[in-house]
This record gives sequence, structure tokens and C-alpha cells, in this order.
Amino acid sequence: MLGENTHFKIKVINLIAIVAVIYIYNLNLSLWETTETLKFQETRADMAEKQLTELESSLDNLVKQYGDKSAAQEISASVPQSKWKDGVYQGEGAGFAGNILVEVTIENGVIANIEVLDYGNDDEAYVNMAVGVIDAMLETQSSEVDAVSGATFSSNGIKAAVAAALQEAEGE
Amino acid sequence: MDRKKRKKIQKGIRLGIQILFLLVAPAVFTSAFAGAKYIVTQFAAGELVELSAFLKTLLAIGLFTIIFGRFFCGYACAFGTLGDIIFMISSGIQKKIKKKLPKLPETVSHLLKNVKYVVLAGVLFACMFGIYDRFRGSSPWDVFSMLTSLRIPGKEYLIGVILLAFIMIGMAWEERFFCKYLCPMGGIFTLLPILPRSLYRRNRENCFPGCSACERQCPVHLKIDGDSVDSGECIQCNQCLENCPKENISTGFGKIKGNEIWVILVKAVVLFLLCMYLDLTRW
Repeated sequence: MLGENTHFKIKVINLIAIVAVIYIYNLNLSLWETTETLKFQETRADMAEKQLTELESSLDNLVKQYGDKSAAQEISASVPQSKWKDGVYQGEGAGFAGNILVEVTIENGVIANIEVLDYGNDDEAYVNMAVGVIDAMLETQSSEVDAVSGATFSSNGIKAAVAAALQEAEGE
Repeated sequence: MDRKKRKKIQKGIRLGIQILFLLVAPAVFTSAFAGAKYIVTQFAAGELVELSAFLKTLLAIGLFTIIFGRFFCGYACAFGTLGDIIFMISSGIQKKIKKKLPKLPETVSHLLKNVKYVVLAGVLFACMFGIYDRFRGSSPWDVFSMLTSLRIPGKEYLIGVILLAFIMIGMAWEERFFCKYLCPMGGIFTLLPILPRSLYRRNRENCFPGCSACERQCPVHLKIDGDSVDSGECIQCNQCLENCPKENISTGFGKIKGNEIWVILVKAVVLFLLCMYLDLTRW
């Protein structure tokens, strides 16, 4: 039907089809994501406005209650205290073929930066995948995030190392 | 150079390249397959398929294979090398005790070749439906990777250890047992459009009548006729060429047969540089 090298030609068509599916999927998703982001930003702007009016009214209340010390104390107590002291901390965790060493920077009580300093004998390609957990950690402000599939060992190594560093940041 | 000597040199070069890759880049096959898993995992999570380190490996090794054929399987895959070493030991023992393990009937081995597609589909479906993590500890590749990193697998890898043991028995029984019957990455390679020129073919008119030295030696049971249903199975072990009494097999590139030492070395160097670029070499 296709003349010479039939099997080769069929396989080429298959491969093109698979690549096309992935490409269209990506294209669709990024289009969808852009519209979603726009929507999200709009709702966020609305919410911010609402919060602002709420804050203003509670500020009014505060002004009214000014002089009542206990109320002021209550409010300052409700501001969450970070469990981490500011500073730069290091931690180690077992990767695939050796220990992974990370440096965690705490600024104003939040995890501001996580850096992998050393990854022993782990293959760099795997570590490069595993650092995906760091974004999730910065977002959730926790070392308890899902491992990157396919690079579980290196991911878990980074998680353990960050947990160790955070432990140190908690201090006594 | 007389044929016997050359055959010995070629076997030695192959084993040397295999051991080099085993020691320096033992994680390429898992990384490439993780690229395939990554694609379906992103599909399932509704996330973008980005050019991650694993996907890069899959693309690079896939492209290399499309151009050169499955040289990676025959010369550089750590798991293939494990199989070759085990089979070498096993056939040595079989020769010594003058007893041979029975061969699988051709029809059975032909059917078994399809099992790798079942493995491939199974793993990809598991990734798609997010249940792959539940099978953690049952991957014989994870156990093997731990051993190449000089780590002892823990209790949670019991199923993986058992599966690896069974696979190793298969490897001792038949040459390239895992590659042709079970390897999911092999399944992907088989489906790749390898350039027909890079495939081996024999000049049938020139063959000794009734001779089937090449077919009998082929670890993956090929007819060796260029582009065919099974041509994607060829792992370029070059044993057909080594055993043909007339050296009547060649690739489609002019005078290049495919097993010349310089051709092998060029392919090995290109592949090694690729692995370095992919950050998959150790030390």
C-alpha cells in the first residue's frame, strides 16, 4: 500500500500523531491558563476591595474602642507569630546515592529561599527534576509536599534536608 | 586480520563499551522512561508538558535511536548489560557441565515479545490514573538502580527484589530475555521509525543456500531483512554480522556494514557526549 519501507512510514505517522497530541494539549492548556489567570486576577481585585472595606470598618471599631487596653492586646496576640527565627540554615537528607545538602533562608518568619548546595552522587538530571519540590515548598511554606514523580529519592532527600534545616530554624 | 581474531576484538570492544556505560551512566534507561511517564503524569494532572530533564533524555535517546538504530540497547543500556553478563556466565556454565537449557519454541517467544507492550501500557495507565505511587517498591528497575548506586534496598522493596530475581533467572535462560519480552522502554524503541538505512539487511541472493547462521545467532529472533514488522527489535548486537560466513549483511549506507570498529566507536562517542549533556554521567 505504501510501497517500500511500509513499517517505517507507519511509524513516522504514529510518531507525528503523538507529538501533535502533546503539542495541541500544551497549546490548549496554555490558552486556558491565560484566560483563567485573567479571571483569577479580576476576582482577586474584587476580593481585595472587599477586604479593604472590611479592614476600614474594623479600624473604625478599633478607634472607637481605643483606650480599652485588653482589646488592643487581643489584636496583637491574634497576629500569628512565626515559629522560625530569621537566618540561614543548612540541613541534610539522604538522596539516591549520597546526601543532599540544602540551605534554607528564613526572612521575616517565612521561607524566602531554598537552595541545593550539594547532592552527592545523585545524577544531576534527577536532581534537576527533584528541585521542582522547592517551588511547592515556598508556596505552601512547608517541607511536606508531594515528591516529583520519577525522581522520588532525590525529592525525598530534598524534603528531609529542608525539614532538618527548618527544625534548626525553630531553635530551642 | 583473520575472522576469529576480529570477532574476538569486536566482542571485547562491545563488552568494554557496555561496562563503561554501566559504571559511568547507569541511569539513562530509567531516566528516558521517566520521560514517557512524565508526559502522561502531566496529562493526568492537567499540567503543561514542559521540557523537563526526563523528557529531554527521552527525546535525545529517541532521536539517537531513530538515526542510528538501537545502538543504545546493544551497547549502553545498563540493564541490557546486566542481562548480557548473566547470560555469559550462564552459557559458560552450560558449556562446562555439557547440559543446555531447553530453548523456547519460536511461536512462544514471538508471542512473549508482545508482553512488553502490556508492561508499557500498564505503567503509563498507572501514571495516568495516579495509582503509580501505590506500586512503589515493586519496580525491579528501582532496585537495580539502588544497587548501581551501592545502596541496599529496604524491606519496602521486597516485591521489586523478587521481580528482579525472576528477571535475572530469565536473563540466564535466554539472551536479552528482558529486552525482547518485558522492557517497556524497548516497547517504545520498537515503535520508533528507525531510518531504514540504519537497519541490517542481508543480500539474500548472495547467501549460501539453506544457511541461517545469522538468524540462529540473533538474540531477538529476527529475519534480518531491513524494514519489516520486527525490524524495531534489532538491538545492534552485531552478532549476525560476526557469524555470517560471507559477511553478507550490511546497513544501507554504501560500503558501511555497521560493525566496523570505527563506526562502533563513533556511535559510542556520540552517545556518551549525549549522556554528558543530559547530566547522566557520574564521576
